[in-house]
Amino acid sequence: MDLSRLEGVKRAGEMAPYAVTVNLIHDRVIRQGVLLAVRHLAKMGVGTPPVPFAFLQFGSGGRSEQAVISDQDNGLVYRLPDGMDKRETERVEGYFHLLGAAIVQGLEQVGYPPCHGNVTCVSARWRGSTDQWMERLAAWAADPVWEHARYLLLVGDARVLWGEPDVVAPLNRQYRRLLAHNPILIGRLVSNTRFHRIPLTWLGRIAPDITGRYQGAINVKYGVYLPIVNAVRHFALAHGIHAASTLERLAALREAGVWPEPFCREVEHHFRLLLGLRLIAPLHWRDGTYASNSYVKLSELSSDTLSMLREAMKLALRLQDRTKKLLAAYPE
Amino acid sequence: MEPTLPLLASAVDATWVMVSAVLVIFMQAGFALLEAGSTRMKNAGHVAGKTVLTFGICTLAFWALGFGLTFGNGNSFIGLTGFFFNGTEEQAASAYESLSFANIPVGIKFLFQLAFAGVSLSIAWGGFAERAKLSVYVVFGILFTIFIYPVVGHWIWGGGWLAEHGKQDFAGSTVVHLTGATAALVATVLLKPRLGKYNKDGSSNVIPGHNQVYTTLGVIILWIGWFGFNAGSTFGSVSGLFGHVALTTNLAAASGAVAALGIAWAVTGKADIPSMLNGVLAALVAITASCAFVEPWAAVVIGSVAGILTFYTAIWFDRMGIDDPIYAFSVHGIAGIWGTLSNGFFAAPALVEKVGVGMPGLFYGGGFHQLGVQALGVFSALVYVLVASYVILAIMKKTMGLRVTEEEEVMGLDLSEHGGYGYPELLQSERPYVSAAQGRSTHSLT
Repeated sequence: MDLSRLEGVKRAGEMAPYAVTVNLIHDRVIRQGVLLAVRHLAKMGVGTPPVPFAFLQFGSGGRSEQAVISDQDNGLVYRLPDGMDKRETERVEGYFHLLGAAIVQGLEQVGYPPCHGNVTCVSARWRGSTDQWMERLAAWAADPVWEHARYLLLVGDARVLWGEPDVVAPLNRQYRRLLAHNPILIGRLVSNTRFHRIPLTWLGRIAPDITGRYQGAINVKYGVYLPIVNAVRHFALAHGIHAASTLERLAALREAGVWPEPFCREVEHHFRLLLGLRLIAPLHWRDGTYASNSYVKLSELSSDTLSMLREAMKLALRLQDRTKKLLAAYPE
Repeated sequence: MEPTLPLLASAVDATWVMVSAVLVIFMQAGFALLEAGSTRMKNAGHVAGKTVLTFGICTLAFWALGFGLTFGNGNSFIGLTGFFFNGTEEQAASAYESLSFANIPVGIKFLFQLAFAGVSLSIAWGGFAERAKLSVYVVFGILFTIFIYPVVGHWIWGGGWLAEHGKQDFAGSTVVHLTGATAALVATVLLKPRLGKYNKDGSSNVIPGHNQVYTTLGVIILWIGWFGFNAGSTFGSVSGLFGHVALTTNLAAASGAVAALGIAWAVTGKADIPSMLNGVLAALVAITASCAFVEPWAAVVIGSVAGILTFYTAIWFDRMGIDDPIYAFSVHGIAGIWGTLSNGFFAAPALVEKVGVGMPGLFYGGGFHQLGVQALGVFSALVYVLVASYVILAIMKKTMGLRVTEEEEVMGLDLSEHGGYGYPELLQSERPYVSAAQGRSTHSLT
């Protein structure tokens, strides 16, 4: 990608409007990837999709909040007709295993590295029939150990990018049912995201890395962006709001009166700027690595962006405090 | 012999100095743990074990020549009598005038001074860590104990030109710590950074020590040993001064711990343990010069400033491309300079009179005189040790080489210099070994 025209961009505000465009581009590229994978299998003689299916994006892709460089977090859901015999079922499963592999490989070729945690549709955990997914969700919710809580959080950001949304609808209902009035589960989800440390010192100073490759830079993703995403998601889930993106969730929280309107506006304002800031990150490194995508050099940001970042961090801290109190809101 | 009051007083003093000498020698255990904990597992046996070897070398060299060069009668630059110390009071009376102020057996005086030389040498080794050849430790250990430490020691404690000048360095912020640290700085610059320390763009990587528990224990042992180091430097207990010295020492160390952790937390957002431990040592180094001359409140200030200063200088040296694995120059050098200068600010008149060296500091209306004396002492010692260490190490680099080969450094000095691992079981399991079960397993797509 030719980044030379973006040389010297120091203000998050300049980039914020492009966050939507970037995600539209990602969506088109990934959709095309799925389509090509389907065609590729047909060309190889494997056949066409035997049953209706949907390709899901999890994580930032699900939330339409991908940065310029993004990894793969995806899954496949397909609907088996009632009474399908075992042999036929195995054939369908075999097809989607191959399709999953073809999608992941294809997306990797165009620059989406597979997720470290193996959250891709080639993995058996993230691929299956609607019934299998229903059982999976129920099993995770029944035993919310750390990994299972993490999986549930990922599914909370799911969005259908290709295929038939109807296939996924029962899963959404199941997910809502499992989380409704379930403070224990919400508690597990909250505790799963509490490890993010916001690099703001108690003197209110942004604390960049002082050594290493990212000396003088801070991790925007883990240091401020994800804490806000998580807090908003927790509040949305706890109040039965099911929207995939942070901004949609904020709008819903505002409409439902969960958070006062000025506060929602404040979070939204900071969040839009953070999306812009995340787009600046790769301009600071030019090494094309996934990790670098999360770090911004403080010395290359304008003073208004720096003060915005500081305010956003303080806001993230406040949101974390609110999240701690979220559970107290439940009746015993 | 009928015990008389003066004899008993002398015996009590001697016992205290003997205990102190043992405490200071015990600091070697602290250095072994501190250094081994702060470095990588593959070098652990070497890093800890060489402490014993070099204390042995230091003892022999100090006995033969170092003690006479430091404390023997001579000129204002160096001592020239009392080589091959024999422990007799006859030799003591004729050769070591500078030590005659304390009425205790000369053997104990020797042991106490030897322990100090050993500490100074151990500080220097910080700059060599994880990449110097074992032979370098042998050769430089001898040369440091003969040509570097005794010169500064003689200038300040052995009746040399700085002693006459009224320089206050009660237990050796300059003589012991700055001297060792300056040698460490020269070594670390000449040895160049460890492999993998710096990236191509100049940014530095943290090479964390392999055991923070060792490092912490090392610091606790050093803290305790420091009571011998400072309070033992009273050369007696009858006067009661040692209580005051122990008090200021402990206050400074405690302040250093709290201040260093606080500054690390405030600046990086992380309550960094190694920074806190460095802060304790820096505070102890700083109070070493001033422990007998300052009041308790000043000890708190001196310790806190040392802890904060060291935190920043450690980062600064790292950014300058100087890979000082144990932060020897920040902890012992910068804090040694600060500690020595702190007398010029904080030396209290009553205490100065009691100890009988120099003048009160700036904050007690003493003006800039003592500060100037302190600065001159620091500057002279720093320059001498820089030049002497550089000459010695540069010659060694040309002739025998200082650094192990790249391959040896990668495999670790335990193996390359000693032929065995410090942690045999642990490292053995890293050998390429495929079990039958592993051999059968296939790569899974999931």
